[in-house]
Amino acid sequence: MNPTFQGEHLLPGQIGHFLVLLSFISSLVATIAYIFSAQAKLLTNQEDWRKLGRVSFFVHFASILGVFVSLFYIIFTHRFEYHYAWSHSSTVLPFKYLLSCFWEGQEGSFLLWLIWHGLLGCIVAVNAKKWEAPVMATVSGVQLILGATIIGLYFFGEKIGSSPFALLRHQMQGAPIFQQPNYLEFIKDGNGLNPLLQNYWMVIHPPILFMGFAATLIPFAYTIAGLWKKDFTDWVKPTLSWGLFGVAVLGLGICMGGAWAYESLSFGGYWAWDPVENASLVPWLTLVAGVHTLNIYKHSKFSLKTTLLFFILTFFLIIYSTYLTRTGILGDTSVHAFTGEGASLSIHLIGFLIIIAIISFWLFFKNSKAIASPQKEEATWTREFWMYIGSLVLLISAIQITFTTSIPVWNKMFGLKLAPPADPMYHYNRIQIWIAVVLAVLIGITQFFKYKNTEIKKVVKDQIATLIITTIISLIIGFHQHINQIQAIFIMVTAVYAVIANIGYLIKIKVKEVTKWGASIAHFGFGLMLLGILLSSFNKHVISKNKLNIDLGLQGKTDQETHQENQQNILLFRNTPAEMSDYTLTYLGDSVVAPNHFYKIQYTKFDKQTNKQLEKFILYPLAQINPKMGLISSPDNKKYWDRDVFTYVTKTLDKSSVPDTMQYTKQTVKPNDTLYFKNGYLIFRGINKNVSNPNYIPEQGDIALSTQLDAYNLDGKTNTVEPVYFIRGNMQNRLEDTLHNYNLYVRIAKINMDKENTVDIEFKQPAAENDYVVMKAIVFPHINILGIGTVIMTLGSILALFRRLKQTK
Amino acid sequence: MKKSSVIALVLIAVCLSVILSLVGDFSQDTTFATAMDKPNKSFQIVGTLDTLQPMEYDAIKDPNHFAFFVKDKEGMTKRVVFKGTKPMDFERSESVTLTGSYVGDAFQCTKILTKCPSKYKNDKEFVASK
Repeated sequence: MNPTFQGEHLLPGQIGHFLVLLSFISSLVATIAYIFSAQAKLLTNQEDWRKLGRVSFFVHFASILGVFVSLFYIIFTHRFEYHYAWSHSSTVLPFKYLLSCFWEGQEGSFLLWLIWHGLLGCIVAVNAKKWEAPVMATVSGVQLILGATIIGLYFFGEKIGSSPFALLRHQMQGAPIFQQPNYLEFIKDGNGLNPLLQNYWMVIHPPILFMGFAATLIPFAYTIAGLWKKDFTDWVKPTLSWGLFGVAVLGLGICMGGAWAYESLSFGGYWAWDPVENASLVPWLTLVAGVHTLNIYKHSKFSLKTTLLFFILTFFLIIYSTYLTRTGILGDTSVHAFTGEGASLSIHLIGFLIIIAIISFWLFFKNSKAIASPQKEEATWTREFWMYIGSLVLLISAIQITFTTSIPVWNKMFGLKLAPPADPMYHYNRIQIWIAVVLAVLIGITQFFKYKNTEIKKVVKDQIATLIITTIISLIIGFHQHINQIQAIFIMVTAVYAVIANIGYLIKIKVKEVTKWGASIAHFGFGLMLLGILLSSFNKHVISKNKLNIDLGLQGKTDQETHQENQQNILLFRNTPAEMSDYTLTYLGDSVVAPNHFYKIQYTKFDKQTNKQLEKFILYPLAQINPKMGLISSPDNKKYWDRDVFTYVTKTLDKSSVPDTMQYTKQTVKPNDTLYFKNGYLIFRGINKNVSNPNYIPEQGDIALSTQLDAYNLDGKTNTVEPVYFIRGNMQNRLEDTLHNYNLYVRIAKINMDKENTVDIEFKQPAAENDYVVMKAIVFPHINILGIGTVIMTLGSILALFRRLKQTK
Repeated sequence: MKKSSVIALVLIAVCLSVILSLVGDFSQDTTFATAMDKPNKSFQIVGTLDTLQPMEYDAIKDPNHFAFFVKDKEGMTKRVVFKGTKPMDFERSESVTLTGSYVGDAFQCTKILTKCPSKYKNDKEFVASK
């Protein structure tokens, strides 16, 4: 028995679902065709299969795009009969965030990932020439497995994947609402987008990050192709280009994630060693290592096997990170682990990991014997040797991060009950700081060595000036910023060295060959990033309680000290100035732009002697009181060239819950009469028949009137209130209006219907003590250096990529 | 011995020592009893909120003082003090994960992680009530 439902639009879903199936089948055909092409002996067979493969892959990409368009149409037109639109969007969502709905859910983010794979695959197919068939076989195969996550069909009783086009009434079978054929009339709005994702970084960060994820597939596919065909001759250039592309894009994506965390989350930082962050950082580290060892191979024929293993490991880790973040295995350990999508996805991804491992290692052990290694030993004072060491250091970093992040996995696999480290900052920094120190030294010195053979005396001579400048700058920074911990000193000196050495290298050696600047610029940027991280975190201090020197978690602290540091919140009553550090703070009131609640905090700074006002600015940290997620607080930042003053709300007053004992004052007024309140007055302008108060939603048969009252403070007119009085179905109703700045509530008591048009107005202004906000302010010194370093590192990687692309042609 | 073998051995040694040096950071989930045995040492305790006993938080008196009672896995209920603001919707949390140490007569906690029912999960009741 299937009742017919009214108002449903099933066509877009049916088209979408058909395209999902088409994309799945075409990726299957492409995989098979490309495998046959790569295996075929005869040239004509190779060509025929290759053509079929390419056409199938194009069809696959086109249908994935079609799926995206269908789903976007559903979200854009608010078709809440679809579960995806209902659970991830709402009618009030601004257009720019409709795209973000895609990456909130599992199906949408897999779809985005498939699109990037498809796009990169098409580029490879057209450009790879002899590599097309073996490389695209892997790409198509990956699309086949990944695409299965969105088909949502039953095979032998097991559900594979979940469709983005599932209907709400199918997902929630049994809910009584669906027994009514017109159920859609009751579903006025969707669940809405997670407010944390309603941020501009969240529009741009996930697509970039997923493109970075997708980019790791291509070096992996080339690795498989190279092993398969036992051919590494003209394999290096495309692999290196795609590797560099991945380094640039994935690196940028990770940094944007940090920027998002800094600007919209209130944990007070850009990096928390959260498992979700770690899961995207680790593949980047191994990819960077792989690109470096590939460079070694290109120049010296050493370390090809290491390179292959790095690229295999990178792609494996990408899928592993998806497993960690999407299946809910992280559970309690992550602040922003995505919802667990259940056992089916878990099995799917574990299966994927096993397939990658089996195929890669089978090919590797079968065919890597064919890889000729140079017989002679690597010399110690060569560029390749130290680059190799650097890559291994990156690997150590990756192993340590993965080991700790995977604790929930170890628990599950071995039945352990380990808890993740109580203080992750301290735990990770303890090791990663020394890794960063070693890396900083290596990226400074290594390029002064030459491939194959170096005259060591010359290198030492070149270093003298660099070391002198490094010492001077380090001393200046160290004294100026009071850097007095041994680890911090090490990081600072080596980061400065990395920066200076790379500038020195550019000046001394490569000044004329701009295209070769990529590596030095990227390394220079990395050095700046390290310096920025050190300066912004070492002297990061909470000024809402005047506590100085919150350290990196480098030295063990007693709990007593930690408790002290936790007393970092300041209470501000409305319009009552409070001293905080050098500033005088005043909470001026709040305003609502749904769904955000902005708190207006005024900072002023006075000269201590003359009492002259030096500066004055207002910050608007926002909070959302979300019925499902509680208080969501987003900071606001005052940016100086050398620091950020980071301010966010930690506790707000739910005004509706405060017992309101204050009585209204009643006053009868005629037009242009004045009503006085504590810090200003209202002038009654008259009765309106056309109600314009947006909170009033007219219904048929209403009789509605409103009164316009202009509010003035000592400086002149500031605002208007328009309380509404209406009769609906023989009932009198009053709609109160509020002036949030003054905490003033105004309503109409009675319309007197006399000759003078008098009205009884009631108003009240609860005392400021009833209105407060608790906030926290943190200073991040020199955080701009980190931002600039990030940009420079990305630009350097892109420059290096362009150089390789030029060579390819 | 070849240089590459030396490097490989050094690599394995470094990784092992790094991981071994970190093992101390991994705490087992503990109970109040363990934390009371070793005062001032940091532990992680998972428990449920004891809603029968009052919660203390008054932003006007001290915005950095929040006290409540938690029942651990063995059923022991202890007072917990958090020097910070009260997390929103704390009453509704299904379980709380506390990090901190036992000092004096209360568990002084430095970090609270709450697990709320259906954070952004859609449940049928929610649809039905619309």
